[in-house]
Amino acid sequence: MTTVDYLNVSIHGYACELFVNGAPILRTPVDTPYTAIPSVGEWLVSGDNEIAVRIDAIAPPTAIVDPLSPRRLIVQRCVGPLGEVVPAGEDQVVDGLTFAPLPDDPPPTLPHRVAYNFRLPPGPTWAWQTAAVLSLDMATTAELFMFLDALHADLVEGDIPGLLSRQKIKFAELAPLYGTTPEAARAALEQQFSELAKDGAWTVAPLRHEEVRLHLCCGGRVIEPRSARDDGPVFRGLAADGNAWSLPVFISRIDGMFEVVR
Amino acid sequence: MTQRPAPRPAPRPAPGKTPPAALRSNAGQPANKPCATCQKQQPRKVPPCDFDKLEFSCSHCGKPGKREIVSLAFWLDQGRGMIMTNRVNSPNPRQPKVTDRFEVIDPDTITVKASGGPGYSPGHPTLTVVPPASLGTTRVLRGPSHQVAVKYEPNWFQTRLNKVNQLGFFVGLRQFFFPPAAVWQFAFAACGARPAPQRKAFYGWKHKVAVYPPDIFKIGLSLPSVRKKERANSSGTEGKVRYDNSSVTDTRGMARTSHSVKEEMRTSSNTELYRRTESVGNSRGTVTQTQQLGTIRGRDYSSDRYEGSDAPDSRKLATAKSFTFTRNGKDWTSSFKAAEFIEFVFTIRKQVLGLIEFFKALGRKMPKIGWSFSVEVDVCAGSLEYEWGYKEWPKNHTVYRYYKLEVSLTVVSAKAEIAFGLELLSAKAQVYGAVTGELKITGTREANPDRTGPAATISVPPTVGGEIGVRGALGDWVEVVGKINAGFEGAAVIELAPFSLKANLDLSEGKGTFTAKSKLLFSVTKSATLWDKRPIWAKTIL
Repeated sequence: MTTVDYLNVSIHGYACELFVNGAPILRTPVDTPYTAIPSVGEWLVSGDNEIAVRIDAIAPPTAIVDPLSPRRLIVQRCVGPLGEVVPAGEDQVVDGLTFAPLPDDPPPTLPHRVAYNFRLPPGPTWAWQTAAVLSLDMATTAELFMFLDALHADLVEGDIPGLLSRQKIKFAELAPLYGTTPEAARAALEQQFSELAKDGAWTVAPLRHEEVRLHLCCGGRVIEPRSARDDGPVFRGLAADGNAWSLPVFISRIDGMFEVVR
Repeated sequence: MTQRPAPRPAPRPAPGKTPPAALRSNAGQPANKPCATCQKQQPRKVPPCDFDKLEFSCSHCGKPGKREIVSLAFWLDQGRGMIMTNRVNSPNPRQPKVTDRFEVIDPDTITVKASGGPGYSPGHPTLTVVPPASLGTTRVLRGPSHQVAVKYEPNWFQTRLNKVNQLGFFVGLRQFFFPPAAVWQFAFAACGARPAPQRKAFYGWKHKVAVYPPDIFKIGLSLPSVRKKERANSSGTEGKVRYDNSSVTDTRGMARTSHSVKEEMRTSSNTELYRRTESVGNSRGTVTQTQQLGTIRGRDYSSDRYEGSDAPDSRKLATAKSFTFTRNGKDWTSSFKAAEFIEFVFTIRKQVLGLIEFFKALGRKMPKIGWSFSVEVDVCAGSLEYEWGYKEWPKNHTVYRYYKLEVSLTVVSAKAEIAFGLELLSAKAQVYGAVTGELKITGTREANPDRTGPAATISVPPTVGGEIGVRGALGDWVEVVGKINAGFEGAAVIELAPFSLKANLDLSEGKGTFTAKSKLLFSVTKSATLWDKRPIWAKTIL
C-alpha cells in the first residue's frame, strides 16, 4: 500500500498561508472555516523540514461561541493510504502545530509566523532543491514572462504535448509519488483535457503581465506566479459542463532553463 | 361612527305651489282675508324638538384608577355645521384612530344623556336599545337621560367549554382567545325641529356599545425535554479496512433513564479492532464503559475503561409535564385533553428525527465509504405562560386586548452530525461535520396600548451553528471555495393577540463550490449540491 504524507488542516478565524519548506500550500479565509487534507510529499526533503503558518489577519471575537465551529488553527502532519478517503477524525497523525493563544494573551503583531521543524529520513532529492536561487531582477522577470507566455500559448492552442514538454520534471518526480508513471499521468492529462475541451468549451483567460505577481519561495529556488486580483493561479479558464479549470504552476531554473517543477 | 347633522326639517308645503287667490265669499267674508277653508290647509306647526349634545358614559367613567374620561360626547356645532366629539385617540402613532363605539367590560351600565337644544315634543326624545338577539328584545325609552344595563352572554364560557372535547385540544383552546364582543345598538332620536334661523339639527344619533367578557385566562405549558433518540449504522470498506459500526441511543426524560450502546469493528490484513461503548444513566448520573479488544500491526490495544458523569440537567429530565388552563384564577385544566398536545409534540419530534432517513439515503449512494449519522432533537421544551383577556383602556372609551407572555421555550433544537461519502467532481469524497439549529423564544411581553398598540408579534430566527467539511481521497485534494452552505433555517413567530405560535424548520440546501486540486492534472472548480433543501416541519403549534 502506497502511503502519502498529507496535512490535516483545520483553521477558523485566521487568514493565513501555510508553507512546507517555504512552498505555499494553501491560503485560508478569515471569516469562514477551512478544512483540507493536502498531500505535501513533493515538498518534503531529507533531514530538516519546516511547516509554517503565516497569520495575516485574525477575526474579531464573536459574541456567540459555536462549539461546533470554534476558532482554531490546527495543522497536523499525517500519513495515510494513497487514493483512500480517510474519515475525519481517523487520521494517523505524526506531528503538527496548534496556535491557541489564551484569552488574556495580547494579540500578536501581524503578520505572525508559527512554525515547527521535524526531521525526515533520507529520501529523494527534488530538482527544486538544487535549482538556482533566483532574484526577480528585470532580466529574470522578462525571461519568466516569456516562459509564462509560452505556457499560456500552449494552453490557448490546446497543445498538450507542448504543455507536457515544459513539465517533464514535475511529471517525473510526482508520478511515482502518487502511484502512477509519467506516461500514465500524461495520458490522464490528455484524457482530462479532451473532456474539459469537448464541444469547443475550452477557454483560457488572457495572461496580462501587469496582473501577474511573482512570488519567490523555497529560499528563492521556486517561483509561483499568482493573479494579482485574487491570488489564484494565472492559468485558468472555463471548460465544459460549467467547470472552471486552473493550472497552478511552480517554476524553477534547472540547468539554466525555466521548468515547471510542481 | 360619524354621522352628519340633519338639516332642519322644512315647513311642510301646502298642496299646490301657490296659495289660491283670495276669493270673495258668498257668505260675505271680506276680501283679502284668509278663508277658513284655506286656514285649515296650512301646515300644523311642529314644536321645537332637538338636542345639542349627547353623552355616553359607563360606570367607570371619571373614576380614579378606572377611566379618565368623564364621557364620550358628541355635540352639534352650528357654526361649522358639524357634529364634534371629544373622542380621545390613541398615542400609538401606528394606530392613532380609535373606534367611535363605546366599549365596556361586562357587566356595566351605560348612561346616555342628551342636553341643550330647544326642548322636546311630548314623549321625546327616544332611545331605542337593541341588544344582541340572545340578550333580550328591543326597548324604546323616552326622555333625555337613561341608564341602560348592558352585559355579555352570561353562559358563554360554559357553552364553549362544553365543546372542547368535541373540537379537540387546539380548536377548543382557541375558542377562548378574545371572543368577539356583544354589540348593543343605541339609537337616540328627536324630531330635529329647531326654530329659525338655526339651519342644522342634531335630529338623531345611532351608536354601538360593545360589551366584552370580563374573564382573564391563563395557559401554562411546562414541557420537559422528553426524549432524544438516535441511531446510526454503517458498514463498508475504507481501502483494505473492512468495518461495521452500529449505535443506538435512547434517552427518556419521563423515566429519567438513558441507555446507549455503540459497537465498532474494523478489520484489515494487519488490524483487528472491536470497540464497544455502553452508557447507562439515570437521575443520579451516568456510567460509561468502553471496552476495546484489538491488535493493530501486531500491537495489543485492548482496554476496559469506566467513566462517570453527573446527573443530566434536571431541568431537561424534569418528570412533570403540564398544561394548565385557568379562568379568573380557577383551574379548568381537567376540561382539556392535554394528552393530545403531548402527542402532537411527539409527532413533531418524530418528524425531525426523520432527518436520519434522509441522510441515510445519501449515505447509501457511496456504500464503500460508509456513513454515520446522529440526530439529536428537542421540541417544545421549556415553559410558556400566556395570560389574556379584555381590559378597559383608562384613557378613553375603548377596550384593548390585554396579554402577558412569559416564555422560555425551545420550540425546536436539532443537531445533526453527519459523515457520508459521495462522488464529487468525479472523485470520491467524504462530507462530514455537524450542523445545529435552535428556535428558542425567551422573554416577557405585556400589552401596552399607550405605547405600542395592540399589534404584537415576536419573530425569532433560528440560531444556527456548526460547519460541514469535505475531504477527498488522499493524493489530489478537495478545497472548498468559500463555505459549504448547509444548516437549518426557519422561524418561530408568536402572535400575541390573539395568541398563536407558528414555527417552521428546514434543513437548508447543502451547496458549495469545490476545487479538486490535482497534483498532475488540471484543477477543476465546480459548484455542487450535496443535498437538496428538506422541509422538516411547518406547524401552527397553538
